[in-house]
Amino acid sequence: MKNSSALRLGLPIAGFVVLAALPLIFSDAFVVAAVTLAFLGAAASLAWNLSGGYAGQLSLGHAAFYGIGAYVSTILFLKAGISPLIGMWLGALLSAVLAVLLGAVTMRLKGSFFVMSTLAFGAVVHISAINLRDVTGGSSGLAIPLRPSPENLIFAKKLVYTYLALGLVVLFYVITRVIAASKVGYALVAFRENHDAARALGIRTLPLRIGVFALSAGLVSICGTLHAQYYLYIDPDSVMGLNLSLNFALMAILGGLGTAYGPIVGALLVSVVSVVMQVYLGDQISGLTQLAYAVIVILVLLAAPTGIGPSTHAFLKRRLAWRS
Amino acid sequence: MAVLTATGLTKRFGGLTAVKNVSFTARPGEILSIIGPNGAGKTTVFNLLTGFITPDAGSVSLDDGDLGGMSPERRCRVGLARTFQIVQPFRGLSVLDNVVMGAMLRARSIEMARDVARQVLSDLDMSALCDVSAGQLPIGDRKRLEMAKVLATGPRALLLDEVMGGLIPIEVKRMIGFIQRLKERGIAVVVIEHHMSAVMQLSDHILVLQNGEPIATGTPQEITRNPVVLSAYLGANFAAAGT
Repeated sequence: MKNSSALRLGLPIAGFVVLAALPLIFSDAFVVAAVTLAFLGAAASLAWNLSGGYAGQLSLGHAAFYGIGAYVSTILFLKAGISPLIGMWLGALLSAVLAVLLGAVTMRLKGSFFVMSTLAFGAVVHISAINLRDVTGGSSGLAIPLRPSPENLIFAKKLVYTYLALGLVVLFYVITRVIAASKVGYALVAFRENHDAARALGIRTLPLRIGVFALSAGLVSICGTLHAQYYLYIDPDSVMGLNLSLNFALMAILGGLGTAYGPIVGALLVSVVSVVMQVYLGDQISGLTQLAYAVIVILVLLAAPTGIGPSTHAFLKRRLAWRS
Repeated sequence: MAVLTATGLTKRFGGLTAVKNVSFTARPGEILSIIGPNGAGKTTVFNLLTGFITPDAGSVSLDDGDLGGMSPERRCRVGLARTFQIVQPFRGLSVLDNVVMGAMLRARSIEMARDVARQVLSDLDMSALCDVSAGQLPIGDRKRLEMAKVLATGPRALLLDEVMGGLIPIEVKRMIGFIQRLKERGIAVVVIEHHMSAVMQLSDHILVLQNGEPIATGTPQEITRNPVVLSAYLGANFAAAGT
C-alpha cells in the first residue's frame, strides 16, 4: 500500500518534471511551438475530461467555451483596456453561466441526444461569432497589438507561454485528482457507469453534473484566453471550430477517458503525430496528413480501446501477475 | 411502530392493470415476502415503492412520512433502499468502490465511506473480493454485491428483489443467514422470492399476488394451507407444463 501511494504522488511529479524539461532539451523554435500547443491542448482536454470523461457527458461543443474565453478577454482588452488577467476570469464566468443554462436544459437528455445538443450549441456560438461583426470582427478576426508586459499577459519570449500552459496543465491535473477522489467524483462515475443503480443508492447527480460541466467550461475558457495571448490573433474558425471540440475529446479518449493523466498522454501523442506528419508528409499530396492522422487514431483505438494509459496499465499488470 | 406502509397501490400500463389495490405493512425486524407467479406484478410493486415509477393510485409511507412525489434518490436518503432483480453493478469499478457508492450517502468523506464499505463487505464475507472488478464476478457474488451496496446506504426498510435467483444451494443458505441478520438489526425487510423453502424459512408474513391483485396474506403456515393460493400456483404449474 505504502509503495503504491508513493507511486501515485511520485509518478506524476516525475512526469511533470520531464514535461518541463522538454522545451529546454529541444530548443528549436518549431519544436517549442509544438510543445506549447501540446500543453495548451492537454490543459483544455483535462478540463473537457472532467465532464466528458468522469461524468461520461460527451460534449462536442467545448470549442464554444474556448472561443468565449478567447473573445471575452480580447474584446475587453482591445475595447476597454481591461487586462486579460481579469478578462480571462470574466470569460470563464460567462462560459460557466452558459454551461449551467445549457446543462439545465440538455442534461435530461441521454447519450447521443446530449452529444447532439452540445454539437448544436457549439455551432450556434461559432456562427454567432462570425456574424456579430461589430463585436467580434467577424471572419477577419481580431488582432492584439504586441505590447509585452506581464499585466497585458503578452510576452516577447514565447517560452513564457510554454510554461504558462504547463502551469495550467499541472493545475487542471490537480483539480482533476482532487475531484476524482471526492464524493462528487464518485457520484459522477456512478452516474456514468449506471444511472439507475446510482439513483437507487441515493446519489443525486443532476446538480453535480451541471456543476462539473460549468467548471469544465470555465477552465476550457481560460485556455482560450491563453490561446489568444499566444497567437495575438483570433478568428472564429481557429478558436471555435468543431475540430477543436473534436480534438479535446480525442486527446482524452486516446490517452484514457476518465483518468487524470489520460488527456496529457493523448495531447502529447496527437502533437507528436501531427508534427511528424507535417514534417514528412506536409509537402506531399494535400490531405495526406489528415488521412495518415486518422489511420493512426484508428490503429491506436483498435490496439488500446480504453486509451493508451489504462491499456498499458492493464497490460503491465497482466505481465507482472504472470511473472509472480 | 409501522415502518413501511403501502396503501392501495395501483398501476396501469395502457389497458393492463399491472398492480391493483396492493396494501401491506412491513414492520421493523420483520420479514414480509411477496410471492406470486411470473408477471404477477411483484417487481412493479417495488418500482412503485421506490419511486422509479409513479402509481396511478395509492400511497407509500415510511414511519408515517408520506413518500409521494419523492424521487428514488430522496427515498433512499430517508431510508428506503432496494436491490434490482437484474443486478446493477458498476461494472468498471472494483467491488469496494461499488459499495463505497452506497456508503457515500451517510458518510462525510470518501475515506469514511470506504471504512463503512469494508465493514459491510466483511459482514457479507466478501472482504477477499474488495479489489476484484465487479464485472468479473460470478452471479452468486454479484447478488451479494447488490446486497452490500444497498446495505451500505444504511436503510431502515430494505426491498430485496430475488436475491436468491441463480444461486446454488450453499449460497442460498448463506443468503438466508444474511437476511435473518438484517431482521435482527431492526430493518424492515420486504422480499420478492421464488425460492419457496427460503420464503418459508424467512418470512413472518407473506403476501400473494396474482395478476397484480393480492389474493392472500398471512403467516407461512396459513399461506401453505390456503386453497386459493394452492390453485393459483397449481394452475400456473399446469400452464407451464403445457407449453
